[in-house]
Amino acid sequence: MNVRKPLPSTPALPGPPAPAEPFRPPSAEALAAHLATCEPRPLPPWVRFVPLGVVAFAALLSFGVADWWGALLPWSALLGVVWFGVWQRQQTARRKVAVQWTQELAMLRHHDHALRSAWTLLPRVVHEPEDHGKLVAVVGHTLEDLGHRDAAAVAFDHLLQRMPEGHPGALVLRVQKAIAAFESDHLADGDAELRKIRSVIGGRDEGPLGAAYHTARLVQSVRTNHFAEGVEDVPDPVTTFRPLGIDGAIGHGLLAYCLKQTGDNDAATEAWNRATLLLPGSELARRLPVLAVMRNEATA
Amino acid sequence: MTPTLTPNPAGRPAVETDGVSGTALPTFSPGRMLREIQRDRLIRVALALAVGLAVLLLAGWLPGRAGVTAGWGLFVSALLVLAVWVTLSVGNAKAAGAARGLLVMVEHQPDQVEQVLPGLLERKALVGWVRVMLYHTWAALRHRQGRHAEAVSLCRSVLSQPLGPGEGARPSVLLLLAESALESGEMVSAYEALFATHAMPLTLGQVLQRLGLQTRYEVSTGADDAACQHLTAKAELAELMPGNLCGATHAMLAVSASRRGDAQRAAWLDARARLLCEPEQLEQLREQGLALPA
Repeated sequence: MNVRKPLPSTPALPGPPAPAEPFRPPSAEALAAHLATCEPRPLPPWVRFVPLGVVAFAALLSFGVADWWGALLPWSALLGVVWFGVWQRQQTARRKVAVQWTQELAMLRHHDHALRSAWTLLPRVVHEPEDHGKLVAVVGHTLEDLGHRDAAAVAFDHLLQRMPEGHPGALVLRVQKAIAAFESDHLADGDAELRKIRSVIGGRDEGPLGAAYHTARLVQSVRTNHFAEGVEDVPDPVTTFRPLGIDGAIGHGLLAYCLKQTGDNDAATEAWNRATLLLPGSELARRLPVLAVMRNEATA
Repeated sequence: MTPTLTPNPAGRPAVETDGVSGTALPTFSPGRMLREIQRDRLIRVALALAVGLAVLLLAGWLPGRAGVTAGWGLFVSALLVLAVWVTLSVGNAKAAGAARGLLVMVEHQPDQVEQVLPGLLERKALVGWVRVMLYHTWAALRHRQGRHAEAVSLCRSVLSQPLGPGEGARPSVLLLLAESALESGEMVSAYEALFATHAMPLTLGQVLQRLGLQTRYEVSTGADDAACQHLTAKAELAELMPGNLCGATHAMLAVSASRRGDAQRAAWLDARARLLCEPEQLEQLREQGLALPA
């Protein structure tokens, strides 16, 4: 093979699927009702013995039938059981692909399609708790990104109730729940969530979880007008927010806002430049409306 | 298992191989997998012949003798076939499930995988694709341990076999091969593996992984025009990666943009890379010529 021939270029971000009827994001109540209907439940243990029972029953029946078709009965039952098993496996594989596709839609921020897909798939995965959890997480993150924070909190609560307290995933969800609470003016709820996280992680606040925690603390500082505390909380923002990757821009943006309020304009400009290096100002303002002030000042 | 684009793969500390760990699996030789597949096939054929003979005896010859009815003979035959089928299916399903589970464990518990895998490989009468999946796990383990030449050999052996129901794993084996080949400087193998992935559907995670690997291949081989093609779209796509990988991809694209004389975009990419990469990671990339000088 000719090594000098260039490899095909990696395509750009996959576009959204074909447009469909818009899917209206559910209210908190509608989501709670849907989740209650689609509560995950394991299959009863006896179900796995049904195929064996069917074959045994057919074999017993064949004793009472003298004709040739009576002799074929157990074989037919065996074939039927095998066919059903294969069909069931194919269905499960298809559902798993659909769940993965839904997660990818959410990652690519095709919110409408991701929400619709997760909503319609939920009733079909009630016997698969892992996939069920993934879909509820998609619903929660998508609703949060769309600004429906009350409904997002319902999804996060649903997941938190089913996860062990110290689970890393549960802690990340708590951070997101805290941010959602602060952004929808439930300051006490947000503070309670942050305290719970603090009690678990203690002083180990590095890594993605620590970065997310500090972002939530900054949101709290901004919402409660404790700007100086917010600035003190993040002495080395580049190191602190680095584990979040591109999303670290939110932390830098919030820090810029706090610095601006404390009158340190140079440091605020520096932090805002870091934030906009990672994400455009319009995107930062969309995610956290309070940052629109910074964007307007920067573009003025 | 998701192979990772590491900033300094050669310098990554290998997993401890002294003491108990790392001694359970021998060094891989390509003939071993083929021998085991042939042995499994022989056992299965012998078993099928034995069952067929038993069915002939029970359903054809025995009825009418010693008070045995045709119905009874067929009933016992059905049970025998069912028992053998269930035993083989359960054994294979367990091995396939264990291979999937071990693949997930490789990243964080390689020592445990090293201990468990030989037991699974010793199982008999496995169908071909299940055994191949076990070798896929072995390849991922060697990749994780930094034994890239062996990982390349394992991946090639795996890809030479039909994967059957495990066909969905082919893209991840190819990406594993591409990364291990890049680590061990086998650029032709890396090219072939990356080229093959363009002919098959990938998940979003695999597309991101290929973007990182292909960028590294192109920057390492001086294919700067190819690396800078659709640069903005590539940077956008890289934003979906975890922070350190996103940073590494930006650093590599900055090198290509700089070599092509696109100073403005090189500066933008480099500034982002500095925000996203750990200083040590950036230093390691610089040592390999995959990031702009400080």
